[in-house]
Amino acid sequence: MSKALIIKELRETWWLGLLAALLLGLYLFVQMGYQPDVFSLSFRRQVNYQGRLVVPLPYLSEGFRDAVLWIAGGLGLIVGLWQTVSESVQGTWLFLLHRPLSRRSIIHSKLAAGLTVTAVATAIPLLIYLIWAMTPGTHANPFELWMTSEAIVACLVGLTCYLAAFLCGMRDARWYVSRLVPLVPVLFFGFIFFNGVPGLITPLGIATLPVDAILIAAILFAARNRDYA
Amino acid sequence: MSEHAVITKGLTKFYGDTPVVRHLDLQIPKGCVYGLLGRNGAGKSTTIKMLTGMIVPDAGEATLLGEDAREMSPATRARIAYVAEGHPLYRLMTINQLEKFTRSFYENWNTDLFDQIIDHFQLSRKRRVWRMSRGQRAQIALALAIAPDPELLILDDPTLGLDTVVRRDMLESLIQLIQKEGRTILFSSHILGDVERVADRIGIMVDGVLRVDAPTDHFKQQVQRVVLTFDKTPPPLPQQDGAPMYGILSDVVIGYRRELTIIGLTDERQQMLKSLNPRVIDIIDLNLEDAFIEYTRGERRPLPLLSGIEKTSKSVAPVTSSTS
Repeated sequence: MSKALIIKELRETWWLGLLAALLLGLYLFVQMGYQPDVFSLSFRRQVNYQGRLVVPLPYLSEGFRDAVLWIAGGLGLIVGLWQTVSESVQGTWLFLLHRPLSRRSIIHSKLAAGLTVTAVATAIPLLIYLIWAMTPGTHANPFELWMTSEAIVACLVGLTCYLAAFLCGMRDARWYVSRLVPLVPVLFFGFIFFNGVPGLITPLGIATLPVDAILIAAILFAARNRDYA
Repeated sequence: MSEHAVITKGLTKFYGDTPVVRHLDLQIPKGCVYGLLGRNGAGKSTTIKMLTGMIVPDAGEATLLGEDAREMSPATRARIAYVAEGHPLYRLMTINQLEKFTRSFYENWNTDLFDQIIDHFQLSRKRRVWRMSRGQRAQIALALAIAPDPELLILDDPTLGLDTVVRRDMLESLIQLIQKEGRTILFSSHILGDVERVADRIGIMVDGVLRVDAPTDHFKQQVQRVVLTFDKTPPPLPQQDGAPMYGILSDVVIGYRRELTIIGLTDERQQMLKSLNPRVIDIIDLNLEDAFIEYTRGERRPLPLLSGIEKTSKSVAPVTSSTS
């Protein structure tokens, strides 16, 4: 892998990660019991009629996993497409691929940067939320670590979204025909996830790993065999 | 070790059912400056992209500096510079960032040379690429290509879209490069004047076929215009071996004059033309641009193949009616 290339990729995509992290952070802030007040541009604490703080159950409140998946998956899709389509639009594949580095190393460097941005941008807000949830006195709900599993699966599906989007941008195909085919597993995962099929969420997280491996292999194959016309 | 920097054998590429490059056999000796010419869609860029491994050929093989273009090692790639058509660069980067990024891949990065070129073109190092003109981008692309001190420089239409002054500047930079012994340059271009000034050998592609592969001067000498002036309406051209006269690129009758553009005006053909009893025969040498235009313009038609192999022979190059 090339350090210079990883730095270049991080420089080009960090702001996408920051935007996603801010969006997820904002959502988690609301989950911590703070309600945004658009008129005063501030946050106020959510309290019930008795004046007690209203805090949803950490990680398991309604819509929590969907929100995390939308943000993680959306970020993955955008970063994956950004890293590939921007090279195609600028014509810089021709510049980049002629550097004295194996094509495999170039793609590995891009993937390392993209996966880092996607993972870090979603993991950091969730970790902060985890610390908050584990801190005694912050909320009056039960909390155990297993409750984070759906959020972790959402992050893993986000990484799969990233790889699928990268493959979409990498392949030599037409947008309106077969280019979006790599998104099929993502749609499948999303369907199961959003429908919350009982007992399938955790296996789904495990299933993303071999799918990711297949997507990486397909990316390397496409990078080697496509025409950069 | 091979004496050729570039060798292709039967290189072929199809886009769908359309052949873009057909059975390209090309050998570029080390130290040669080779101009690849052709009209739009002739297959020049596709050829160059196959050479640099950016396009996978459907058949045939290409070897650069002794290594298969498809499996080129990073070490060999470091010895080859490639400037793609349109000078693609990262638009959000400044020159400093571009240099830092590109330099990191090379062991033999000549910072002094890079600085010289940037200073010569008076480029601001803190300016981002998207704010630069096409000519400035071309200059940066050339500087980035030259700085690693490559043995083989491949330029895909490097002067496309540049104004005359920038073109001349780039050309002078190229000439300086050429003066370095042993360096091979392959470039495609539409500007025939540039090619004539720089290239010592040219290849002309027509519909994906390399029709001409010859020293530049040899090609110019081979394509000539013959003006036959008669006292009456010009008679039809004589037959040669029972077929229309070979090597005729164009034939225009204007009043009592017949203007022919001929490739390979041999003594035999001159005698055939004299047999028409014209009052005057004028033979006009063409410059490269005129010769190229005459050779490639018009509808698709069988064209004579011209190879530099025959340059020492007094007879003209073999002429064929085959299109492949």
